[in-house]
Amino acid sequence: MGQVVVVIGAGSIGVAIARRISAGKHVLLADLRLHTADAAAKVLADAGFAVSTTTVDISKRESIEALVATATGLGEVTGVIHAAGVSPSQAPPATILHVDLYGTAVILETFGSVIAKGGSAVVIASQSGHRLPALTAEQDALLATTPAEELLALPMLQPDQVTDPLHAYQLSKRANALRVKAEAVRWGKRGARVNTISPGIIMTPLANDELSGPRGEGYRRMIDLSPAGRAGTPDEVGTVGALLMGAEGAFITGSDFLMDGGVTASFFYGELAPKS
Amino acid sequence: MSNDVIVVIGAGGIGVAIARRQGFGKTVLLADFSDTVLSAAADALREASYTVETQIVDVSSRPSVEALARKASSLGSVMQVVNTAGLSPNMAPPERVLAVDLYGSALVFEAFGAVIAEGGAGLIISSMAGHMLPPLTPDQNQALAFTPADQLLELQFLKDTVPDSMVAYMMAKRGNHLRVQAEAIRWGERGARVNSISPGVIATPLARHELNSPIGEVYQAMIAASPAKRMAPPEEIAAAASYLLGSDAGFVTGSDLLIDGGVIAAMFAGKLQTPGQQAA
Repeated sequence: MGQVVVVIGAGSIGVAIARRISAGKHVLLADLRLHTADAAAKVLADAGFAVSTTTVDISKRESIEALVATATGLGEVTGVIHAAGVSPSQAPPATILHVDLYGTAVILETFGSVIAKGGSAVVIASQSGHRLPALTAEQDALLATTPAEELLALPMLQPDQVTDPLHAYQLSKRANALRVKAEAVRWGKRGARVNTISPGIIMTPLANDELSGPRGEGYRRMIDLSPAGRAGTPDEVGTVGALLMGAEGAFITGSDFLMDGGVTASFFYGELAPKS
Repeated sequence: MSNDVIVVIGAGGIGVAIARRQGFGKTVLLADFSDTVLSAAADALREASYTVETQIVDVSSRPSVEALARKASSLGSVMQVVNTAGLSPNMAPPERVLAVDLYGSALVFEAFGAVIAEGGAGLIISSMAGHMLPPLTPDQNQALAFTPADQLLELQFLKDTVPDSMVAYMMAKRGNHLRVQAEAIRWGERGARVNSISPGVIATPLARHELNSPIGEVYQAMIAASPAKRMAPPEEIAAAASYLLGSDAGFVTGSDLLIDGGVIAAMFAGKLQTPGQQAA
């Protein structure tokens, strides 16, 4: 049986990475909405990729486990691209934690038990994880290593501590990178690697909607005042994904790659810094 | 954003894959013969935040190609020129195939060789078909490489040895390889490089069309007999293009890279008949 690349979340970024690394392999596209996966699959199939689709709800362990079974049934899982999630404007804090934080932990746990030797994964986090002030060493360790099923019971993740969707999102994305760091140790024992990409504003259909929506002005300000002076393209994330997942990235594991056109740099030390 | 310009001629599957991979942070000047194809490709790139300028071009027309080169220069520093335009053998009679694929590519090299920036690079998408033709004579090689563009189609041996569109296509694509060697000298004088890629069966809308056409079986046989046993997505060509256009390839010029999943190797090994062999 051949090699399988699993793409969780069939949006622009996941697909852009898949296009870069999946020639000659089988792509399994999984999304909460089958029609989203099918639409992406048609584009990939027309470009000569071997593709199949399935649904997954990453807030449910049994759904992720079913995806793992589907993937291993297709062949050797050499690549996992996790690009699914909900954004702060899409859901309340509890849902964001459930999908973005817990769901990611379960994906890393379950795929970490089947990933092939020499395989690799990337988790798409966000620049938001870099906005949050530093946590304590103890909090870092809890987010990194608490068993997935106990994560959402942590006192630091209760409603009195996590009050708004943006905070939930930032915490989840910080937790993604911490989780990846911890999982890199376990994945390494199988000869596999796992890394995080923390993208900034990437022009996807969703981002185009945001730019023309009520928060559009804030986004445009972020773009204008960033060192790059522009938004990123899904294909640039594809390039970093290809590096991290390919042979040239063989020394890179447990790492978090911030690619945001310098928005985070400007937020801390430049024109985007909050006025105190 | 830099002032750098990448020119992509031909807005099909390969052209767009290369534009996506090379174009961010630059101005993409996208050109095509078809307004419909051009607009659709430009819209998709703009949707992903690329800065795109468009111009209709007919690569078989000198004024049209020269106008495109002028437009490119007006936009900034012309760092990369990628010519993916072409007619395939079952799309046109031999005269048109030679006009677009042989004369047109010579025109593009000539016009853009006059505006390419120092450190820049050119690339033409040729075809594995250029590798199917038996060796030409030294005189024929010289003629295809160095004859001034406007006299190319008058070459007597082209009139004598090109009976059909398939041979015209193979000859034109061989011509691309030879032209690249000649142009590498001229482009080199400006500190620029030029190379070709010879793809095999790439899964583009055009290839889908061919696979479903009366000659679809020929393609299927090629895929089946090849070591890779599959078509390639345009991204695999874009990956090679990225290398050839980038700084890692600073020592590579006048070169052709065959990327065909081993179809030519299969022909060489006798596992597959070479099309047009008798005729050529």
